[in-house]
Amino acid sequence: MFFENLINRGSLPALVSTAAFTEERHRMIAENVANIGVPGYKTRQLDVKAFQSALGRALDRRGSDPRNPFVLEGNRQVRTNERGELVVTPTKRPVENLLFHDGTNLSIERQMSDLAENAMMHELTNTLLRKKYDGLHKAIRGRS
Amino acid sequence: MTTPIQGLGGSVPILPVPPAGPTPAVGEAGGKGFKQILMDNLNEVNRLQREADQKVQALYRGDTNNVAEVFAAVNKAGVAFDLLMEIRNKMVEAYQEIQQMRV
Amino acid sequence: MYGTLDISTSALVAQRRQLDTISGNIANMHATRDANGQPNPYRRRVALFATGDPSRGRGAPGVHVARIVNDPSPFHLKFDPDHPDAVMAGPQKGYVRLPNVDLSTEMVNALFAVRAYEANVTVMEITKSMAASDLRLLA
Repeated sequence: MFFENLINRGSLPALVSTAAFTEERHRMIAENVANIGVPGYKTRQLDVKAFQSALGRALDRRGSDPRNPFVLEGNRQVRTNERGELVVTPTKRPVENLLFHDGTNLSIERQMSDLAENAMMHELTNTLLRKKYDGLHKAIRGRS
Repeated sequence: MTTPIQGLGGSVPILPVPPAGPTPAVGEAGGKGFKQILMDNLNEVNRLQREADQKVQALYRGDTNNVAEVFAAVNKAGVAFDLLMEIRNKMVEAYQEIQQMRV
Repeated sequence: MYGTLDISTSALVAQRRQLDTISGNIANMHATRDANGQPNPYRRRVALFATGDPSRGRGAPGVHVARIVNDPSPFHLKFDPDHPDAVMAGPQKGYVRLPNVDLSTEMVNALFAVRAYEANVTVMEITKSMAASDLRLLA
């Protein structure tokens, strides 16, 4: 699998997974923000640290041989399905113990700051991906 | 391990090179011939293009929601195709160079 | 990415309905008669929010106003026997029944609705910029 090796090598699969993860997490945060003011609403979370450790494990398992598959598993929140796609399962377990008078634990401040941080991670990942693809194209053509 | 010097043409008969089935395009260095490599790569590029197409279709049909993965597949197919084109160009150049050699 | 825009849009729609309800309450806070001219004070209305967006199908993420209900809390009573709608007889004689709308409550709710509206607009802006950054991967 000549091209698979080319593409699976180094950080590229980790970058693609991170871009997919930040996209899913953005959708989840958008849903939280949409539910501001709904009494009793409990926010949903996707733990970034859990994702990063699953990513680390997947990289270790692949090792330096790009023919090994790159698969996220062993985690209740993120995993790679049979088609190689990322599947996320947000949890309702709260990050911090908040409870407002209307029964919700939604803090606009926390959500907006998560939103900004997640968006920055997504932009950064896309920029790195762009650089990688450009680098591959340049290497192929042998000239800029 | 040293062997005693023996006369030439004795213990090591010179065999003719056996024809090796479908003729490899250029001399192989213990691997597949260029032709086989090219065919394999062509099939793989084809497969990657098809996969990218399927992912794009899934996106538009609403089966998948994740744009990042679709774009990654499209880029992957693009890079593979580029590489294939460049291999082909280099091979054509090499062939032309050989053709122009004065024998 | 476009599904994400729908989630935020449902929130904008819901918060606007909330603001409409609040505006109606404030506008009518002195109305002692109903639309037919009968002495029937305006009763405060409350928009009830619920998760989900049924307009986009079952289980679609988002938020919507499930119902707009009347606030059952009692009317305010103000002693004003000369008022044309003052109660004529009984224990509340001389009192006027005024709508159970409290301006400061309505203003605080309006501020909250505006903040929620703006938060969702911010989310939409970020959704758009993330989609643009995704497109740059292909260009």
